[in-house]
Amino acid sequence: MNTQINHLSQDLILRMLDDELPTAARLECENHLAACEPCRQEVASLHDFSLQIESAVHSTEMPDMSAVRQELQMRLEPSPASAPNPGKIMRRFGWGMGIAATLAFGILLAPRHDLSPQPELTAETQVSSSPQTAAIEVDGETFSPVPYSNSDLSTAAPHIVQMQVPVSSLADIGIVLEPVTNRASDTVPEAERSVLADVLVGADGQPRGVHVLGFE
Amino acid sequence: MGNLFALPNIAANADYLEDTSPLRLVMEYYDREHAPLVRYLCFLNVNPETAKEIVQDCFVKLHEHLEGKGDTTNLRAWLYRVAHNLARNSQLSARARKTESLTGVTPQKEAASSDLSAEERLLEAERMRLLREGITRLPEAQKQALVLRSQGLKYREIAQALGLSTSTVAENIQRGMDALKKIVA
Repeated sequence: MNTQINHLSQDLILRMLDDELPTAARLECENHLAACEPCRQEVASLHDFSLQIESAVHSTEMPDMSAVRQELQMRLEPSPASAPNPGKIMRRFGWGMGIAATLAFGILLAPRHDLSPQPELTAETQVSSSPQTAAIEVDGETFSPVPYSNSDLSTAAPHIVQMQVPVSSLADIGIVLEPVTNRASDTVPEAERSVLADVLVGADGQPRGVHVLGFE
Repeated sequence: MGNLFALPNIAANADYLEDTSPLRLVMEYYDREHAPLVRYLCFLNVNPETAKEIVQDCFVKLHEHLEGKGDTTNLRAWLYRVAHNLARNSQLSARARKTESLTGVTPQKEAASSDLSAEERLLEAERMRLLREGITRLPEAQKQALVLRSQGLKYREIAQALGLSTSTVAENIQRGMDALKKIVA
């Protein structure tokens, strides 16, 4: 950056005001400002405008939140009334042990079958009802699972990438956005159509789920 | 802009000392973040009643996240991401049902400042109204970045909340500021 000739860009000034510049760049800006009145005025103007935007945002009408805190605390605090008494626990535990033992015995004796058939995906399937393909919820966002992903991998530290996904790829994994009724009038070839989607990437680096955003 | 976006001193509340449970942390975050979250949701065109529900759900999810030993490196950005996603889901289902009306942003009753004359107060109120309306009309990405910046989030927090890069966030903030300047010029 040639501080003697070029004025500071608005981007640079905003980053400086927001304390988002590395130290070296910040010092360079400060040196430039010491010798450049127009840039100082621009800094003052953007600072003032930022304050006005903040005031405008903060002057938004707030709903009455007085009851929400109490409701939240009640939802989160373990209720003493709902704590089971020790006698009840033991009775339940006894029954539980019996049921568990019966089940374990049954599993040992049962003939072995392949219990994980691959779901049949048709062109009209939006979300399969197979338990293997139950929707994945991460941070409040719901993803349609990718059928061939490893459902055993954790999503505790999710990596979500927003990208354009070809419609044909979505169809391949069983997600059809809507019935296509005007194919003849479509100007974009099917193979080239894409939609904006959040893709949940699993711990193995492979896509675990897709949340289509394109139609929003 | 450190002073501009300074956070309230929550450590001053004696109830929070000693206790380090997830519940304590959730309530601490609630006290600090519920108002900015509601404001953000209002700018996403979520109506106030739905905003209250979403905010409560956010903190219930935060409690689950903490109980499940989830990542705690940037919980503020995490909260905004959850709020953003819940709002999006709520709006999608509302759009599908076509029953929920989106109310937009309504102004708080302006506090009368004794330093300003009646005429100056009117002009100031009008300017605030123009800015609020201008913000609601910005493209979504610019609006979200600008409102979150005004709530004191750092660029990396905004990036994390919106699933964008920090350079895209900076670009959206700058474009949003440019567009708003033209509106109120």
